Amino acid sequence: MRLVVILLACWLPPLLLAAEPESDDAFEREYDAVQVKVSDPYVEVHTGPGRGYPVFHVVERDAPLTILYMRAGWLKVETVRGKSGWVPRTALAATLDGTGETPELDALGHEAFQEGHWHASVLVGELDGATSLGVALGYRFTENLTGELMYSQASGDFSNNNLFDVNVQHQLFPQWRVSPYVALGTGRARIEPRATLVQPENREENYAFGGIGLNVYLARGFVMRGEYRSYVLFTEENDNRNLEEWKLGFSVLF
Amino acid sequence: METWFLRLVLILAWMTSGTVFAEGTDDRESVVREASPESVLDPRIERRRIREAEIDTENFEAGIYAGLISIEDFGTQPVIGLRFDYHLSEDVFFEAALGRAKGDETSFETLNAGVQLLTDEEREFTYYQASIGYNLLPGEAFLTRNRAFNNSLFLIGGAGMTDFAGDEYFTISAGVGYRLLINDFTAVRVDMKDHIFTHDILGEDKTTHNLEMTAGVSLYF
Repeated sequence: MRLVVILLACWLPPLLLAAEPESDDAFEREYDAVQVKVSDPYVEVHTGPGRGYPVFHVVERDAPLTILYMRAGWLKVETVRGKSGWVPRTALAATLDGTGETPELDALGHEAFQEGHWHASVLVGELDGATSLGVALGYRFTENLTGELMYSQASGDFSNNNLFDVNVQHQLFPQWRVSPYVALGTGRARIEPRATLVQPENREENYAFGGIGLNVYLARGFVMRGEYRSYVLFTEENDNRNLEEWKLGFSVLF
Repeated sequence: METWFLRLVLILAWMTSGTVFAEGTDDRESVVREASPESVLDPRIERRRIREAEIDTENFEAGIYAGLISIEDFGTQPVIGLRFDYHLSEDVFFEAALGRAKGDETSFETLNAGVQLLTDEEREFTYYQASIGYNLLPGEAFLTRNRAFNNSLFLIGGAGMTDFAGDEYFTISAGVGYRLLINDFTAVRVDMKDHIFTHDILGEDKTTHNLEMTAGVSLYF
């Protein structure tokens, strides 16, 4: 009888293993999959989304390929045989869609994100000797015009400053990959003097600024951004205060 | 009786293994078939124009983490945080993170009962930062013969602000982390970071190293 149990035990695991891939599929998400046909002699399918992952499968010319989704420049695909793996996004150029044409690849961003798109930026810089850190959210209304909200914090030796402003940017040459812009804006600053012994009062002041900047489209949906700003603070004293700020950071377009 | 039963089991085993072998030959056949797809496969794909923009993108990752942070002079304390990532390419990603902890008493305060350098509220330690990560060593990790997980050892560095002791300090962070994808959209992460900032809470300017070690889970979408 013991022998029977041993035999049963030996022959169950392969069956369970055989059933395993099916149970995996139950966890797959639903995607708006698109289907293309391979037009090059073959397309290599990798086990992971990266150049170093091994090629474990090859899809030949004329075989259909289902594209599930794209992550970080790689496409998750499924073959008709049910094998799923990753191909680089550039492999799209080796395929044809239902109309017999190569799928249209998106541009870096300076063409694809012309208008009606959002951007989020993070910028680090220097405001009047203090290190500043800013986050911004903007919307591109037209090819040339972008509106943006920015919140910055500058922490220096003498005070902590919080700046909240709204600005309008004008892209001078929207078709260029390295695209300069001018900006005009206004906002409110909260200045908290830094002192250990006496505790001076916090001040709030309005300000306006003009600036010039540069967007460099580095990759699809990704922009390197540099900006120079000249501020005028409308203080309660007789004189207005002038401040300068340099910022460098990046934007993500979506 | 037992031999009869054993015979039955052996016959069953032989039959099942037979089907298993049959499946094996099926596999081989499918390889051969895939070599000349036009003969068997009729790629009747939907007649529609496809643009890259129509493909779902999953470049974002959001997650939570928990661990320990050693706040210099203020003890090692539990920390919790949120993170949000954007994956630009297979190599580079960007991360925004927010973490919270609470500083303990300094040894000076412990030794001198009654002395309080900071109020309870001022001990709240909050940092927020933006970082760039680089997937230095991507790879596959094998759990069993048939089960592999994609993973990556990455370097991460960035800048941000730390809110502590009633003040805000510009902070530089650098560290190393490990990401293991347990399926296509869930990652388990372990991060080690150093948050460096200069403060004058104890009288004079001092550059502090605040080492943090955390583990977390995140989802891709």
